Amino acid sequence: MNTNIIELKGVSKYYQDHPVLQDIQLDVKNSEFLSILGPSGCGKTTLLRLISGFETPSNGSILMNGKDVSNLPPHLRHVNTVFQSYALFPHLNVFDNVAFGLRCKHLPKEEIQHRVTEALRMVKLTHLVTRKPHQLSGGQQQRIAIARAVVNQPMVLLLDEPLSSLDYRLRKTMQMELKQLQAQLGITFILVTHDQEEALSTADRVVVMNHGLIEQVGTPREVYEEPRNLHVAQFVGEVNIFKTTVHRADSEFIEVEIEEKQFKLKNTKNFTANQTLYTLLRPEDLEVWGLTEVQDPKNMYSALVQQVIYKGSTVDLILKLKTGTQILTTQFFNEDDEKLDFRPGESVWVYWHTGWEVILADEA
Amino acid sequence: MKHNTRFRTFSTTLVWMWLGIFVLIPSFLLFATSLLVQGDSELVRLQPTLHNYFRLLDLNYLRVFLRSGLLAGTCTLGCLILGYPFSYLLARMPDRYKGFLLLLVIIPFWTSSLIRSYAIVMILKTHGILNSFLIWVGMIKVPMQFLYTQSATLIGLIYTLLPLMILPLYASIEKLDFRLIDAARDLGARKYQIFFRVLLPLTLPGILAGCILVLLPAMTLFYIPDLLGGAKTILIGNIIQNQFLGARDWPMGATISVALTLLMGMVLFVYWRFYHQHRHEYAYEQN
Repeated sequence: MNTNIIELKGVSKYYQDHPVLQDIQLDVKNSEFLSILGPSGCGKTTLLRLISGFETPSNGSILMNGKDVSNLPPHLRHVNTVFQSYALFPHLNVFDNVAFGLRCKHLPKEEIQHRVTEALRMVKLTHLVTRKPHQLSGGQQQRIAIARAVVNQPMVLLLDEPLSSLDYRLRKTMQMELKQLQAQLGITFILVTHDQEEALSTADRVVVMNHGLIEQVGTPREVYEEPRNLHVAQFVGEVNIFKTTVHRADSEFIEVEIEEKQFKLKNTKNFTANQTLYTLLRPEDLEVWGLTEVQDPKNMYSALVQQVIYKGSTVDLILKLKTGTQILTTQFFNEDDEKLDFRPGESVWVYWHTGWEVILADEA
Repeated sequence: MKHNTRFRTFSTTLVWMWLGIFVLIPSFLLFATSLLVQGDSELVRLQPTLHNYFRLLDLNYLRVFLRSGLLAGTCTLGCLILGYPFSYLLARMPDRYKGFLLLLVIIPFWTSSLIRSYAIVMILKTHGILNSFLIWVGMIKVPMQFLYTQSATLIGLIYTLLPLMILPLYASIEKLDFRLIDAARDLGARKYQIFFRVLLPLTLPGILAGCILVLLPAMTLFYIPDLLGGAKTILIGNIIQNQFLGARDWPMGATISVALTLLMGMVLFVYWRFYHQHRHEYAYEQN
């Protein structure tokens, strides 16, 4: 089933002439886990509210299962939302909260009983049916909010930064549970988040947004490894950016200067001579060697260690190149490097395997 | 800190003294009076008895209590029906209008309600503003009887007490987390379902507070039926006034007052118990 469950066609949203979303084209496939990633104010929540029906588009149309739902109110759409604040009804106990949607549809009592119990079993909270929301922990409230939405068997489940108020460990657990739940239910999940790690680790596809525009849509790997522009590269993970000038170019190779060193790199996107480019390198793509470990420092940069950040499984180093540029590297403990014992002020060699870099044209 | 404690002692003493002099002692005197009997030459005779309380069971008194309760109840319902939509709209107004509109609700409090009742007389009387207007428009030819009817009393009570309904309702609706309404819509609730399943239960403390604030004075505002109802409608307040000033039966007036106070106390107690049991749900804030 690779049909599109939701299609956004040229959707724009203006608030008093101020554009919040501009010409959004997006197809959401059936049964996929899509995450919408972007900084706060990029329009991602507005996009979600357009899909749920709380907002109507200023331009363009929204199709669900091929039908135009642009002007349909929320209660007539087969989508449900898990709100950032959970928005559980404080006067109702857990059972009544989960049963709310079913009761609004006047379903028979037995069916409500059955489906609510099933939904609570799914989020492993059957023992809390009679509790009120104020008697629940943040993680439990979160699960009830999810149960309250999925019990209605929506075509699409929308999640508006649902994990942002949980602590780190619980957030990790819930991310995995959401992923499992999505696989189990087989319905489409759309998760809005500003946490790139969350977006990458949960989703099948990531939509990166900025300033009301979609910057890139792709698998987590594509978005991370082949960012389409500088914003995507900077927003999704850490990145070192070097301004690069092209000295010579042919159809196969370009000769460039990066931080006062000459390199011959593959010409991936028809770059021409004298063009200004950006070379992007992820911190983990850079290797750092101690002075004594290197015989042939050709193609290596000499650098000074400025700061050492020990993170347990990795060590991050902030280095200063001869040219004055600061770079960030991440070193992993492995059989080659068991100690990774760098100290601030130490001189080191920095190296990267040519071909691991991403080169982007200057857009300005 | 020492200074602080002294200030606290001073202010609490002041409050207790105030309560003692103006609430406790008068209440005690009233209660004591209710246990005495009417005198021939003096106001009361020192002859302790419960006789007055048995007199309360007289059908005439019960009938007044009932009629008074009915009128006060209708008035409360009227205030609620008018006040709820008003408070809701007020609470959802942009902040810059809220203060001003709230001020408009409060301004009538600055004038004595007795004077405002005379103003209603001016509007409702035979050659008053309302009749003149209706004749001028051509809807009626002969002035209609508005004044000195039960409806006039009701209009007067509702007009006087409406702000007491609006203020607690507004406070309650203002506090409401409107994201809950989004959640209800998202779960498929229609407008009436949102109202009955979310809005009403969550603003119940405000509704109850408003109803109590309106119901209690509505039973005792004796001058409104006097002025507008032509003394045809009688509230408990009228009887009490009558016993003290007309019949000069202070012990019976005191007895009715005590009975009324107990009744109100019971209503307040029930409200307090209810609120105490559910306060977590209403004070509970989600992030």
